[in-house]
Amino acid sequence: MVLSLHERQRQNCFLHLRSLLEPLMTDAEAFFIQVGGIKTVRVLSCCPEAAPMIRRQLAWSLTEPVPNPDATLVLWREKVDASFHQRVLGIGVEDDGSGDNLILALREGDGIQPFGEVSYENHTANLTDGDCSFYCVESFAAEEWIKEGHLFVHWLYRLADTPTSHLVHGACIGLDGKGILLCARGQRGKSTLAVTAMLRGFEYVSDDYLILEKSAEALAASPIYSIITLSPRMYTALYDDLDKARFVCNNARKDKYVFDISGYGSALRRAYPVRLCIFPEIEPSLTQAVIEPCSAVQKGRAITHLVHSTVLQMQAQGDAGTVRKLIAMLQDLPFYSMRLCPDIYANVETLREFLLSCR
Amino acid sequence: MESKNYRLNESKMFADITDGIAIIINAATGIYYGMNGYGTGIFDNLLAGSSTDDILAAIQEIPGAPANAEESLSAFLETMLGFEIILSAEASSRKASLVAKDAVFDQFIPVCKEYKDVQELLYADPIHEVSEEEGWKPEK
Repeated sequence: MVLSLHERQRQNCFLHLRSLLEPLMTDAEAFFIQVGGIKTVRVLSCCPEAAPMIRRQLAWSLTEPVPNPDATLVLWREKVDASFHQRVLGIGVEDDGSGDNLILALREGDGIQPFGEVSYENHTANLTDGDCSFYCVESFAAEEWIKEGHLFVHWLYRLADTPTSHLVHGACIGLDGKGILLCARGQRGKSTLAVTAMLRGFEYVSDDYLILEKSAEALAASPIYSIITLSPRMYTALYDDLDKARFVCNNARKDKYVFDISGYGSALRRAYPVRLCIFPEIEPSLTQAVIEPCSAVQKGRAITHLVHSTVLQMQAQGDAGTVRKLIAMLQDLPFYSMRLCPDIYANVETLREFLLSCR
Repeated sequence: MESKNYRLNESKMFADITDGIAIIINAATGIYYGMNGYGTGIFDNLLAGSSTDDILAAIQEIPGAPANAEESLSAFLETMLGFEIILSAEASSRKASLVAKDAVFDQFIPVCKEYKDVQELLYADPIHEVSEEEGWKPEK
């Protein structure tokens, strides 16, 4: 259900919420996070158990405190049920129970502008009041936290959305300052290629989410997370090289392992120049990977993958402006297809040879 | 329906078929288009070089294909032409292959739809208007 409120009612919601949080805020721990090279934001954690997870997940984005952060996120623990909007926000309207979530929206003329969502299904709630966002979850257990890692993605996505920058779902690695953006949806070898390349000496930005910033000179990629997620099969294959990775927990579906890879900080690059895009596809019959320039149709497929993967994660399929911006960021880059063979290390060596041969 | 061939309007559209679903993006406007599984199968065959006659023959091989399959195929093509997703192509023929269960699941109606904007998606949920005077009830 969408609850369409007037401005005075919206303000009352946040007054109610802030008064509820006030006693918790006195003991809150503050973390400062770099959003690419664009902004510095603050997380105020009202839950002691959240702090280690923030340090593990965002080690590569944490930075020194600044006096005036660009935005703040308040984290706290709260039961999220059908009484949430009454109990926490002071809204006296009964939910009609017609959905898995309640969207709180501000009535603006003929339209409505959402400012919060209460998910009964995930037992989470998030609200935004100007530069301050509020997020609550019932459990900060490690696995739930990893699932709720998307909390940071959604929040950072909004913050990174400027005329010249955007958070995207893609991987970035490279050699000698020559960055490759890997454009592909899941199950196409993108993450495996990125992590294996890092373990074999490549420079690394991310295997999953990253922030792209376009300037007159270049397109640059910066990391968000310092964690990776590996299937048991990939973990076994990479075991000997994962000596600096630390197990964090299983993912929420319990079909993958989550590792803290902040021990590989020497490989990490920020504001890393992206020189080309690669569209990987797994071809089990190959004995050696093949890298070729993309045809126009393949390039279109690669861009569709990156754009679709990004907007799908952020539920922004209807945001034509975002789609246009992402396309504009990418379409002047050279695109190559990379057909991957089953030997993950051989794929990395093929990529290395290719990059060394590129001028 | 006169047999025709079509190709992707490459100069305007990016397209990909993943997990049996076509996603198409207008590179200039950023507008998204999606298809159901049956529509994706038809679109895939068109891009692979099958003519509309080839596709119609494949549809009619599927048990339960309705008598008006040609009409819904024609309407689907018109929709894609209207969105400028496809353009006429040189005549060619290639045996078409469609997934019967997709056709049955989608009741032999191929769909290509433009994604609504975010505001319209919001209106898909039931909206409870809270009146400024009466609807607001502060905490008891």
